[in-house]
Amino acid sequence: MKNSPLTAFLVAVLAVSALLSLVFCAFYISSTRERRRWEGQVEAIKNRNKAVTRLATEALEYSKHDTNIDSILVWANLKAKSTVSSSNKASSK
Amino acid sequence: MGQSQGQIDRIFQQQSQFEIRFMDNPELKTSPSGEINQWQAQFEDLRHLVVSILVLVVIMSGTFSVFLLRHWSQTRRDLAAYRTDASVFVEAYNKQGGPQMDAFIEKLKDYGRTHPDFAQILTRYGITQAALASPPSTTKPSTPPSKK
Repeated sequence: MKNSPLTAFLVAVLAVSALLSLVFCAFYISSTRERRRWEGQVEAIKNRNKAVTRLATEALEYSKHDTNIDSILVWANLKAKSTVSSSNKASSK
Repeated sequence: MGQSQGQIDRIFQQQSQFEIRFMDNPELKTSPSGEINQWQAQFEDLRHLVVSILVLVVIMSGTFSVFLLRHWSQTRRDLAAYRTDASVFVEAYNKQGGPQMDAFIEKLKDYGRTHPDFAQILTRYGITQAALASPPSTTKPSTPPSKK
């Protein structure tokens, strides 16, 4: 049986199209994965920032009844130095 | 005369029966060349059908490829924009924010070693250490002493 050239051409075009679909699909998956990786990294940093901010807030609250922690808070720029010295004076009186 | 009429009727009857049989069985009416022509026509019809289906599938596959290409190029553009911002953010964190936070947490950990009440706060945040595992018990009993 003889194959018609039109059929052969159509089969070839179909094969190329299917191959291109596969390649584009692989590129798309790769791009999506990379984006998710970046998003995960950024999200983890944001979550850590939030947790440390909450911890710092609690440390500030804690410093209201225990001024020993003030040196760390001053070091971390969470409390002004003048406030610390005045509060220390007040507590010593 | 009546006899000849009966013969004619019988001949007509036989002829019509033969015609009915002939119509019922199509193989009898086609010659071998006619049969080949019929097969060829059916084959051509089938070929046209296959080519039509192939054309449709090629169009569908091409459309899907173009869709994927557009989707991928859009995702790539988004990723390039996001990567620029995210890399700046992550780099700033790795250079500055991260080490500062680590140092702050270390200092708080050191502080927690000597202050068990603060260690409880650290434990809430998942910042634990071996020294904090058994803090000295300074808490008073929860039940008040009974008055006499």
